Amino acid sequence: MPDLTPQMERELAELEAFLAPDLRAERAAPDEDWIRRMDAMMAAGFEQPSARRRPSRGRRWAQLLLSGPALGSAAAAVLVLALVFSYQGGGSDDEEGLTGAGGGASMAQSESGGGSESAASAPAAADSATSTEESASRSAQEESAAGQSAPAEPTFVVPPGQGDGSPASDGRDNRRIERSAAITLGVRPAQIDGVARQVSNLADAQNGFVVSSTVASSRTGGGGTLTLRVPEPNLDATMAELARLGAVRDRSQRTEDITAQTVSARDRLQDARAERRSLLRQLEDATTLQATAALRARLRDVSAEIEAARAAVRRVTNRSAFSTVAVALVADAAAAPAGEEDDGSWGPGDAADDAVRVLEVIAGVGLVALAVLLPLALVVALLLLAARWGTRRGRERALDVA
Amino acid sequence: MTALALPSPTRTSGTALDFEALYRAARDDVFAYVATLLRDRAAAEDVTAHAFERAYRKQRSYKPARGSERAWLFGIARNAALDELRRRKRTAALAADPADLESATPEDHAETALRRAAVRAALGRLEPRERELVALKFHAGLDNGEIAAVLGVSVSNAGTQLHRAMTKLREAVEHA
Repeated sequence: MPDLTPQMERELAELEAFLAPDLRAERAAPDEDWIRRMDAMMAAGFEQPSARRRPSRGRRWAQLLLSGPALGSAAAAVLVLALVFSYQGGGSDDEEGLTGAGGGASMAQSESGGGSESAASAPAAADSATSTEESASRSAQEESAAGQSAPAEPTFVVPPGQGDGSPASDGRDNRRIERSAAITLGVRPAQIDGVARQVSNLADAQNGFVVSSTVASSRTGGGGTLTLRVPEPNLDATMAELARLGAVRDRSQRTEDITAQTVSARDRLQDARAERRSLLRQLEDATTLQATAALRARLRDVSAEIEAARAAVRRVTNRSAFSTVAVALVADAAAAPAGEEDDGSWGPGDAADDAVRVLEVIAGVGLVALAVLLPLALVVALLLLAARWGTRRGRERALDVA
Repeated sequence: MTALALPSPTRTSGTALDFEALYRAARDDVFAYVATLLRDRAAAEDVTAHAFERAYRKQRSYKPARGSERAWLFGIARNAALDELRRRKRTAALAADPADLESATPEDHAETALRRAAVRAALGRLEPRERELVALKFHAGLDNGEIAAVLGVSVSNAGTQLHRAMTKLREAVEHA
């Protein structure tokens, strides 16, 4: 529609001057009775409306839509609560994961500790071998304190049978001990990679090495396992250093006396060498080609036995010289930052950490609530706008057909 | 008209709406506008009362920055009247009341009476929107700015529409 031009304004003024008296004469005037009723209603503050009308269709829609946000808010609140509870349930899963990781670490320790070799050894070796397991499970203590753990199963100690030990192995100075250890560290998800590198560096620093490493990290989780081999004298220092890298959830050590296996391997080597020397002497005295050939064949077999015995001696020596350490890293957002050892007391630092944690949870819940409520509010707003537009359009249409 | 004893209306500090004064100044104008829009006197009384009741309840929502008090009140009255039209779903016959009220007196000049009859007929032939504009201008006494606020259009647009309606009206009167 074109704008009102000055000329149109002048024309409009003329038109109004021309028609105004007649148009104003057509103005409807209210009845005196109605005026009195209206004045009475006004005096009463319109407490008793002239006619209680049924809400219009638009108003009914508005009431329906206004009830929508209430329902939506209730649904969102339920959803947020469900998410919070499921988040806490996820924490329990983490704890279970910890236990599982610990179990895995123990298993790795057993395997790397030469359990299969022990099993393959002679029964005498198994009889003479004594093993002890120490467990300093902090998680068990913590869970016990929290009243969440199942009662620990009793440990039954079986008295050793007769014949344990031998004069050749019972000398205290000749004992050969194989030691292995496992530790589970709770680490903040963002620090898992860094802690894994520190573990590797620690192995190097202790003149050891990393046998295997599997590390996975993500923004909210992750974890990893590392298997180290460190000189046995450095095992305690290594474990102490590892404990500084995260929150110790589980720690265990295994000690096995492999003196008998060592003696057995050495004896086999000495026997083979003695037989080789004997064969060499017999070879010098041999006079026939057939006897010479038989001795040479036997010498080859004995040489192979010597090599096998040497390898066995090296293996069993290595088992006592180096210790296997299984390190499990588990994601734990509540863990103290790497390098901060938790002494169990609750101080300002812990309070600050807890405060940050609470804020993180609040922010997370708020974000989830926002993610739920924002689309809902948008939909409700659109519906309200549509209802309003529909009402306006309906009114204008009603005027057109009037 | 005597002053009314109002039961302490609740108002927000942001509004300076004197509802009693507004009621007294606009009551008859609102009725005239609604009567022209509905073309039904009885319905106009009911709708006008309902519009004032609604305005009284919603007086907190009045924002001076969005227009004059009269424009706000006539906007409410317009919605109430259009809701009534929607509800009835019928077009009422042109009420004869205005003619009865303004029926010619013996003193009226015959030419004036004829012209008013022609104006009345021409008014009845206008489009509903054009008739509404005339009602807002000459029956309710709103200026172009207030008419624009009531209809939700620009002042220039309201003037243009009014110019068109008035032109049609004059042509109809002249050809009568």
